[in-house]
Amino acid sequence: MADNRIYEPFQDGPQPPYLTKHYGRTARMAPEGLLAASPRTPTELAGPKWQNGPDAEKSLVHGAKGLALGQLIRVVVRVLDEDARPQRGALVEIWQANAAGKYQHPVDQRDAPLDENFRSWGRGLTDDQGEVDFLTIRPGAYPVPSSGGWWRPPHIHISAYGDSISSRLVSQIYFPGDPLNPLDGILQSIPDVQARERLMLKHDPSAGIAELALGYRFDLVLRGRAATPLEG
Amino acid sequence: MTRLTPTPSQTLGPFFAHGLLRPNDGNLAGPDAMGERIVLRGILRDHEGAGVRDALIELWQADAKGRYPGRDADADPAVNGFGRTMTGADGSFEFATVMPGAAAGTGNKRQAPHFLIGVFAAGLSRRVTTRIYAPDAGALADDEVFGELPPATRERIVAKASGAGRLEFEINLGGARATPAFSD
Ligand SMILES: [Fe+2]
Repeated sequence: MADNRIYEPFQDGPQPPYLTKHYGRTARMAPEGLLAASPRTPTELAGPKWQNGPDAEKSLVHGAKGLALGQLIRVVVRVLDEDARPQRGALVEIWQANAAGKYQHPVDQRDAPLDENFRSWGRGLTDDQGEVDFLTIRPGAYPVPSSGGWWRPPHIHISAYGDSISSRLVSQIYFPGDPLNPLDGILQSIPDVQARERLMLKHDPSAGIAELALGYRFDLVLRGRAATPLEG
Repeated sequence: MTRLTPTPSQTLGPFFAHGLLRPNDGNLAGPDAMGERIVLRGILRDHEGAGVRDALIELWQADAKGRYPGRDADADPAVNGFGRTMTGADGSFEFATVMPGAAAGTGNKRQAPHFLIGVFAAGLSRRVTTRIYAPDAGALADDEVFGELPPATRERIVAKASGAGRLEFEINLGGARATPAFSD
């Protein structure tokens, strides 16, 4: 039971504001009935627990007829809390476009090829080290329809559930150095440059698979810390 | 000691369905669940009152006796407590569940029966959270969270009974009837 955990409200700056000029669609969506911070009763301090699925759910690239097209990458996601403690049993889910920047989704009407060997989603639970790894491909960039030339940089959507419903997070992770990153309204909607840097994958050969996949690591920090500071 | 800053949130975007949703995710109560079975139906609207399609709606609730799975050891194993679904073309969505009981509150208070709702969508940089209360005036009068909400707006987060075993509510992101919501 974790009724003594502390979850501070998100701040604009390290977090993107609900209303931001960088992302026009927020203009009709930003909540106008916003109150102060969320309460933290037992409702908010509890949260769902998860069962592990088959390992195959962590590979997006093993199709019925062979490997998916594109640059194969292995992404090791490590889930931590604000005290830097690895979070075990956290559900991490990812979804992304294929190497051509095309989503397996009826709303994506762009004329770009689908890849029958690529499955657009992955799912897994973190282990005792707080880690879960996915085998996927570097997604392609894609244009945002009717946006006047905005292309989303290559990114992987990520969703995680930590120790309570208050630590729930949905985000996107990016490839460092991509020329589209500084032009992306969604990434740039985060005011603090250091916070934007925290959404960059880190290239790490030790996370790769010899002669198959490049290695990347990503630390996902979920909200929540011990009420009493830990020693050391 | 090390203190880390939480990872920034980013919008859900429109293409999440294959990644996050499975056929039965909107059903929280197994065949053996205790309590009154209900259908909880809502609609999500933007500032102009238009239904928001392809949004992710998450539901977290206690079992019929107010116990949370994972927190309370004696919680009903047939109640998942958590569900998620997406909005249709008109912004509507639906969960099949049981009526929650009065969960523990702060200290030795009890809370009025309620649902915690999380909303993610394209155009939302972060989650929007709100509570939806069952229409139970007696319990609401003593609820520690409901009592702190602005009186003029708090009836907007009380669901309306719309037939036997059916509750309905609206989430208005803006406009004259904007839903009271908690910043993430
Ligand atoms: Fe995307």
